[in-house]
Amino acid sequence: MIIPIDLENIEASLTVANEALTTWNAPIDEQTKYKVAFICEEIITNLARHANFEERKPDVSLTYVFAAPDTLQLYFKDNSKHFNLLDFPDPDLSSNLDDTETGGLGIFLTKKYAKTLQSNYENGYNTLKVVL
Amino acid sequence: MESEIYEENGHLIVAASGKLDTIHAPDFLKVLQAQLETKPKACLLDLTKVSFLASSGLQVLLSGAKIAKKEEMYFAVFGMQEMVEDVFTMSGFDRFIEHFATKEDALSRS
Repeated sequence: MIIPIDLENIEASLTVANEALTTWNAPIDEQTKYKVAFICEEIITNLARHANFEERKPDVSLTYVFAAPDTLQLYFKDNSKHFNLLDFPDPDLSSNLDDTETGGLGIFLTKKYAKTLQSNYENGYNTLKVVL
Repeated sequence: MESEIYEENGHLIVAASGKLDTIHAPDFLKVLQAQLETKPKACLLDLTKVSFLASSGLQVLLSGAKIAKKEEMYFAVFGMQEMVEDVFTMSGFDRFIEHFATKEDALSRS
């Protein structure tokens, strides 16, 4: 299932991405649905805020694939300038409140929720594969 | 995102509802900051009706905790739903933001 993502309207895109799993009758539990919603929120928000599309019209999509009954794959594909989310340093989540900084927190938590994350750049498109 | 503000046993309670995500967290941050500017002795954040917490929502909690510490107010959260608490714990925020299962727990221990 391929879902086009409009970075000018994140709220609507996230709603469509979340509802797609329901209308598709995807065989996943509520916890996994929450994780999918969380990852979509973090990845798509990050794209809207930080991706550099240079002069190109943004072309962003999310694809859901069931590789096995208990394995859902998410593919985030975009035509922004080559970047690798996995290169982002983890935030400093020290036990000291004053020193805690949250830059990169969403990506950090996405890494925690995913079984595997894989980034690829080919034919002008970045693809982030997330396996749950 | 709706919020409710009330006092109970000398504590200011700020209750959020719905999603604390990239769309709604900024509005709730404004509400929380405005309440903390009144310098209550203790502020409890009621997350009972929060169904979704993203990193933008975590940043609101962190901002509240930092303001409270600077102004020497007590600050804690309570009532997190299972997956909201999962995000909170996985972020490591449970190490420096006090958190309770229920309002009664929060009121009795703060």
